[in-house]
Amino acid sequence: MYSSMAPFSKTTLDINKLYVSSNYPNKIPDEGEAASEKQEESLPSKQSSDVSVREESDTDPNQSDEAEAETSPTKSPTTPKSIKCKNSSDFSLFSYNNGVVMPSCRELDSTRSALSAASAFAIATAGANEGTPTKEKYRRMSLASAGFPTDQRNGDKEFVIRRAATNRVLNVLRHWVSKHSQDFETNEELKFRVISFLEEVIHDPELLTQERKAAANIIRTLTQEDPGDNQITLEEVVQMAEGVKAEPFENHSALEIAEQLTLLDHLVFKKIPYEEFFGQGWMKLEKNERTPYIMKNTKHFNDVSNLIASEILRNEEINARVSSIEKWVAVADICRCLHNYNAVLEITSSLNRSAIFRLKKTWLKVSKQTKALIDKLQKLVSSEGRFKNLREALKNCDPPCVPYLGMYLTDLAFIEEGTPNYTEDGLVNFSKMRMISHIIREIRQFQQTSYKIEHQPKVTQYLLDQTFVMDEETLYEASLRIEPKLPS
Amino acid sequence: MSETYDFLFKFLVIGSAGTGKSCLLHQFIENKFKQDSNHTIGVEFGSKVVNVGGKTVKLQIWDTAGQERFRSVTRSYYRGAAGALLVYDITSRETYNALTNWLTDARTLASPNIVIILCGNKKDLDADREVTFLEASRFAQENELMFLETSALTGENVEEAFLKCARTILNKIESGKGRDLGLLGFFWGFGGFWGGLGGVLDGFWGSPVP
Repeated sequence: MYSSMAPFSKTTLDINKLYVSSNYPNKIPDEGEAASEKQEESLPSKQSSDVSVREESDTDPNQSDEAEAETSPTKSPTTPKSIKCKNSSDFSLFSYNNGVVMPSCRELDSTRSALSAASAFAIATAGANEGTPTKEKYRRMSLASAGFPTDQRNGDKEFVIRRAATNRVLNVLRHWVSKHSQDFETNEELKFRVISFLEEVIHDPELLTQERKAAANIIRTLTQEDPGDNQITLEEVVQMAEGVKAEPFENHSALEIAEQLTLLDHLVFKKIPYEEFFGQGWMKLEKNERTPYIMKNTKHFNDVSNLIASEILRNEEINARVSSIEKWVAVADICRCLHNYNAVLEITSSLNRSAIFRLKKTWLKVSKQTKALIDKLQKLVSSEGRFKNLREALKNCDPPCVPYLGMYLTDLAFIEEGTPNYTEDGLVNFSKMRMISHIIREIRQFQQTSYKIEHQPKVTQYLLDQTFVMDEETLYEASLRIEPKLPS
Repeated sequence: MSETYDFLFKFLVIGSAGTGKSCLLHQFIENKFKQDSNHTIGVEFGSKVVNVGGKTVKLQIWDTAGQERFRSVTRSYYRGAAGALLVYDITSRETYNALTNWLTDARTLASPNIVIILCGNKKDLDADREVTFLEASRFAQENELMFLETSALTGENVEEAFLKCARTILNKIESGKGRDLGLLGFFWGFGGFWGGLGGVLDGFWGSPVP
């Protein structure tokens, strides 16, 4: 349904925005998926407003003007001006929209407040404004106004439209401000404009009290000082590790390492802003400019993986290597319990590297229990069946959690490359956009909940210390030195 | 799954980012997401059953696109692969120069006998070509690779690349060299980590692991 609307957003931008950002998401069902998955409860509205957010940031200046026109009776007594200036080719689109709105309107009527019905009505009628009224439209109009007090109901179309429009605009803003606060944190100009627009709304005597209240609430959300989670930042952790001589592996317990690694992994993961996930920037030549935080994430992953391999290989003595392996596996298992699947993969993939994997004598001495545990952990994060076990685990786990970013990057690469941005008719391919937003939403969900793990500088110093970490080649050389190749 | 097949080959698609690996795969599988369906990325995506010389072969194709930078992870994908498409972009010298590294990875991390076909992708962009057919085919010859130029856009040579690779593997098996190659994909699935390790420890890959 949405896909049929989106392409028109250029010409009917305001209306579409109003329409798609309804806060009655389930009333505009996308039969295919709305009901099926639990986190999708409010999916249609979220997704569509993700899109409208993008649109708005582009068209913001007009936005406030139009909204003003719609809410101020002195300026636009009959029709919102944005609707007036449509060229004739738009009307067929609107009648299509009408068809879409109709069923939801019916449902609204039975279950929801009259205001939402009014919104739907407003959209339906707005577009067809210049055409001759049809029976259908009158039917809908009466439906819509049913919930209003009698004195306002007398076919006061303008009143209804204005209420609906105000309601929609405020809903878009409320959703935007509460769900995507990142946008405002990084863009002072945008924040300023939204606040001044809302202030106008608050001081508009023509508006209903509840509308002005709603606007005031949005401002409050927007200007609220981020209480923060008082969590240490990555920068602070890194800074504390600089220039310090780290204590060796033996000085930290498996539990300490698992916890601090989890803290670190999550700090690195949660920093990735969502726009880095668009357009496969991390696979492009200018990846460091376009997706610095994804790059930091992968670098961190590789650094930790190298650290683990180096830690094992720097033990000349075989029993020391064995206990090092066993301890790292214990760390991995604790990480699994902490839902840090990223670290499970950091550790198991280290053990899988040729430099470690080939240490025949060492592996013979590793205990059966440890081997069984490795097997179990490997199965969990195996890429087999497109990470089916890991996906299952993620689905069932409550945050906090650190997922393996690579899985999502592959998903995004698949979607981006396998699906066109536009349909054959030149319309925006909404199925594709929905798939992408799906993935990003899942990532964000895991980014938002932080671990309550107390930072222990002595452990993170060890984890971030790169002084004894070897690169791929050196690792392999070390491996060959410790256990030379047998003549075949 | 009720589908039957005589052989299961694990294939890799490797090469630098941006060479069109995923496009090749999409083109081959012909499983482009339909615009209007709510397609999620299915578990079975990335496999296709083909007919090679009268035998049905299921090709399970592993594509690490997007994950390339997680080096230690992507390297572990090599284990158990019977064939690989090594992809470069004919309009990018950089991707061609990287081939040696990819090849070393493939030969050391997979079986040394892995069957590799070199694919010069984006054949349709001949005007922007930076790598000639001749030098690439010489490189292929020196390194005992098969070679084709492909276009994921038009589909030219895409199916051929996969089939050619599969045919070669099958020939090796049927001529008795299969033990070296070991139908690794097959046994790997049952053997898991330790099964694979057992193979390494015994000095050859071919032994099936219970």
